[in-house]
Amino acid sequence: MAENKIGEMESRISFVNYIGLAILLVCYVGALWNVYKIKEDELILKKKVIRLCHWQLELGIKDALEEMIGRYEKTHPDIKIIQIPVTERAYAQWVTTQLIGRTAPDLVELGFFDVKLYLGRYFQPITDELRQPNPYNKDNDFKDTPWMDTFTDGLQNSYIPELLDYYAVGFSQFTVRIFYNKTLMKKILERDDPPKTLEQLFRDCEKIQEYVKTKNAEVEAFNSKQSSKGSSWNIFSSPKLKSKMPLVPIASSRYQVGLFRTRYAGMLSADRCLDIDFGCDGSANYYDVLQAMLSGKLTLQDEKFRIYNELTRKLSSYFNPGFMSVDRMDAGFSFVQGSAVMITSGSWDASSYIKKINDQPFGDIIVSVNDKPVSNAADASRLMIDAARSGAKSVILHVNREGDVKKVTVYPDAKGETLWDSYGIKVEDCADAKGRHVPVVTELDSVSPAANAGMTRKRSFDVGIFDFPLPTKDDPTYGKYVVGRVVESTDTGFKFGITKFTEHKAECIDFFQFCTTPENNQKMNEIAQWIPAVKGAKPTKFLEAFVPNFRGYWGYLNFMMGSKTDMLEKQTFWPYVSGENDYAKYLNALASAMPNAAANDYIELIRKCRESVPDKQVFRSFYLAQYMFPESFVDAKAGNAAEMEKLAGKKRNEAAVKFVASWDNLVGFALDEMRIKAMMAPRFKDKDNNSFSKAFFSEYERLSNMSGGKK
Amino acid sequence: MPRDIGFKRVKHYWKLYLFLLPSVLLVAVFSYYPAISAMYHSFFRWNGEDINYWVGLENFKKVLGVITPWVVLFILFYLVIIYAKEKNLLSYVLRFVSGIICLAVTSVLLAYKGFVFLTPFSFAYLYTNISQTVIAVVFWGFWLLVFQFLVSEESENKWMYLMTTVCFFIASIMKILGFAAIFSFSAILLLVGLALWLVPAMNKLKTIEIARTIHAFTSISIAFWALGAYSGGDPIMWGGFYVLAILIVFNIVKMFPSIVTAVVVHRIKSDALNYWYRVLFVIPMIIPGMVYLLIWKFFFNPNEGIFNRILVYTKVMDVLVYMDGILGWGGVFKEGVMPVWLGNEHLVLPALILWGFPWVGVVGVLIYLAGLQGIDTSVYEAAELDGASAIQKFTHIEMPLIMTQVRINLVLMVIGTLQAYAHILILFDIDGGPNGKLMIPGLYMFREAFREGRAGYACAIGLIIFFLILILTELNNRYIRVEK
Repeated sequence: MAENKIGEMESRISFVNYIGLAILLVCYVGALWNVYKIKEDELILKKKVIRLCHWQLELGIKDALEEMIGRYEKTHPDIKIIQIPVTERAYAQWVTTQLIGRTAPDLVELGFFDVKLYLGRYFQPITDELRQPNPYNKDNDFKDTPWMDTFTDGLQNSYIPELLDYYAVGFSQFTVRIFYNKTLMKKILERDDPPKTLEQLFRDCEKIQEYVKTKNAEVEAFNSKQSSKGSSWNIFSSPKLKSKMPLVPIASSRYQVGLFRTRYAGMLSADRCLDIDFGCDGSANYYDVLQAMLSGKLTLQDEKFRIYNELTRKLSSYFNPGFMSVDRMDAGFSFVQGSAVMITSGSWDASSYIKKINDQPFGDIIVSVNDKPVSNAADASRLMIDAARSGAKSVILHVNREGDVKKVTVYPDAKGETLWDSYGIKVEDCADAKGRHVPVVTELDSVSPAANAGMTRKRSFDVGIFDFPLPTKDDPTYGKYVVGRVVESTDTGFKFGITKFTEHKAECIDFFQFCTTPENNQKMNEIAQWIPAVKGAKPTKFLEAFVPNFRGYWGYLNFMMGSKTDMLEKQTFWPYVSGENDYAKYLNALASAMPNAAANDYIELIRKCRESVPDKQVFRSFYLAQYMFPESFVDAKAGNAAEMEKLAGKKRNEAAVKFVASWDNLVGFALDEMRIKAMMAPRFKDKDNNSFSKAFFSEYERLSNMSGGKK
Repeated sequence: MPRDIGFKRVKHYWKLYLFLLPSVLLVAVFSYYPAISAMYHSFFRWNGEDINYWVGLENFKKVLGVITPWVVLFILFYLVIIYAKEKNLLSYVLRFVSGIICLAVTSVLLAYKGFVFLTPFSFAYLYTNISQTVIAVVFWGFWLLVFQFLVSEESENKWMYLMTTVCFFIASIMKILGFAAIFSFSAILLLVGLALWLVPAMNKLKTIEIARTIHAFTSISIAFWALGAYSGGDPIMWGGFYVLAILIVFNIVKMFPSIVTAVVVHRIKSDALNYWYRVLFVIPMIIPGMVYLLIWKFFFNPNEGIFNRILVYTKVMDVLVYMDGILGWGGVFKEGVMPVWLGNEHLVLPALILWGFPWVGVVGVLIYLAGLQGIDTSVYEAAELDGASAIQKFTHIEMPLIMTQVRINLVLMVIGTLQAYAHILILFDIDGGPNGKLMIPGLYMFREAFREGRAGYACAIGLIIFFLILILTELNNRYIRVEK
């Protein structure tokens, strides 16, 4: 009986039941193939595989790296380099996890994570290599120049004083400017050169807003008239209504607000940084700000703080509504679509913007009007207006739309006197891709005979770039606070470090050297549309406006004393700059939570001084080991015994120098905690100096007691 | 109940256990090990890697402030959960201590610390808080209806629910007059508790024990709230629970569309149509949640998004502008200005609540459908013979018989709400949006671990959230009962 049942069941099993299994097998085989392809180079072809990660998803960067990788692999067929782009939002977490898990790629772009904290632990120093000339420069002027000196900034910011070594090589420089839509600016302001001063920028923004208001009022009037003609509930005969112009003077987001704020904060308050530079190191860092607040030398009521925040808020009145709730990509999208006249961003976005703007529709090029060919806007306009005035019910146009010639039948309004009135379009001569001037529809009324006929207008536009305009000394509001232009960081960006887990350090260095010859660096940055970082490499013409300004003021006044105060500042600034709060409420929100945040940050600062000392001791051990066992640190392929002896001796000497220097450094670093405490001692003696210090020390005592009295 | 198996039988079925072993190991390594590691590291100052030294209870002190009252309150709450239903002296004592002593201590401590009267009274302040009164009335009135479904006895409890509404309404008025909210609620509840326990006539009421139990739980919740606000713990952490409480309440409401949808699909007479509707509900499951999030982010765009356009087109915007003027919302809705749902401090929470409209969750619908399909057709036939209407069938047959599924979903929803933070991270940023309004504990935990490098502290926060989930789950299991 049971056997009969089993037989019945088996007979019921049909082919369909195997489909799932087949799909599973196919997927498994596909996955195996994928893994094989990834590992093929390393395991089968025995190539050296170098992995490189970065967060640069902007247009052109991956292509630029691929170009360099392609060129390098051609001359080094035994090496394979793989790019791993990771989204910016997740980059810090991804890299941190990979580093901790010892699975990080060979080359890691430095940024978004606590670089200084991680460099000593996870990355390899490359000082020795940087001191030698770049072998790929043997045929140019830099053949005897140490590699580090071929960079525009001498790689200053890649040197870590606490670790006594260089850790990274950068490929590009970055600066921030304001992009603007020349076409729109010319249309609205009747000029296409950018504002030279802050006052002019404000006036231009106000004019743009007025223009938009006027246009939208006309649209509203038209729509009211149209609505009164028919019922909007009858979907079969509802009148066509025009859409309002969504144009704003400046496209912005949370990200862009930060750029404006720090720039103008620097212009207006850089001098205050020197006032509160208790450490006398040329900058106001965390404990300088804390000291200043505890001593009463700096308060939240600071005039410079108020003025640059008010300036930012005034600027924000020209931004798109809800700018704090959108991100950088949305703001960029708004600009390239022609919904904003200006936007600020860095040179890293230049190529993305240009490409996206050029990808916008070019608009209908009028080829003929009623079969009469036209070659310029004046002829096209004249023929079209004549046709309308002669009472023609329809006008046949042939238009070139993205390379296709199409026939368009338009039914003009005979009562119109201008092209706009009759057809709802404006035609201008514009240069096409080949540089020829052709008549293009540049404006199109959304409810018009031309729109009904399906015509399209030009959406691409010319882009200009200008630096942040400075307030003049005569400016009644900001003039007396202006310090000067801000110096732009000399930091070479797009920096990569070599992780300790790599098995191919020499190849990584070689690849860096390859990419940082003047020729290759120029080529790479040409594709990426960034600014080269190597001497002798020139930026593209368009990017000349981004060349950094190396003369100016450094730093700006802020109340950041650590991560908690930083978070507090960002949180409370949001409703203020959005216009929901006034300045008093903003300060109240800051003042109420700042003592707790500052106390937390100070305790963390002291703790971190203590915790990072063991790292330096590790390095001391490393240098000592190099001194005692130099042979182990010399490349075994160096050659014969005499050569090895010579290299070992050289290594021992270098290690001795570093060992001594590291002691000074370690002492200095170990004394950091004592140094900070010594600087703070006068404040501890005067706890009731002001309301902030009273609240700060009350919180500090409370938090310290929680940790069992550890301070 | 499964039988106990002796070791000999285990040896006999060793192949079966060997087959299970890899799964058990995977769960142990990828679920239990991280959890145990988190518990272990919560007692350390740990940066996620090499900085790892013992700090004892320091992380917990930083989160909780003074630890002892928390521990006492937690144990008390747990004991009340276990013993409240018993009819013995221990049950009475526990509930009396929770309901009266706890509140009395809370009120006295608040008065001693000076947290009684926080805001000077003024007519302007009163005006701007009228909306809170309106919301309080609407909110507590709504709970009257909710209790009809959640608690099985009906008309006998109505006086109690009405009294609850009145009490919380009075507390809201006190808050409007400038008293601290915690003090207002604890003072009023203390008076109610004194009435429940000390007025002899109350003992004659049939539902007095239920009233005392609910009072005990509410009192302990108030005490937790007071501790969170004033025990010197991490204010960012505890501020986030306020947002979570609101989200949980609204997520309970948002369970209903799924139930209704499941009932409607279940009642489709055609089997083929029923099948296709179920398929249509399953297909969207393949779309990643992130995509929904980003679509809604676009919906909320003040200029391009359809949400504002729908509000304008349906004239709801005009109503909101009018209400803003009447109720004093501070110009959140202004004539001619599109509200910024993801940018305005006062709108971010409503935006988060509205997200996902019409809140027909695929998983929920399928779970309820599975429950509904277990109902025998004879039950429906009997109901039809008795002349039951469609609504009566829903309230008397379908709802009670799927309460098991509702309970499961309730537990999953509460756990999910307490743990989730990814959507806030994506929609806003790691700092919790404007004024840190949405810095919920989960996001704070993430920030501490990955931005600040304080993984040990983040583990302590995680452990506290875990205990909270444990309590709420136990509460749900014991008290949200299903009468079949």
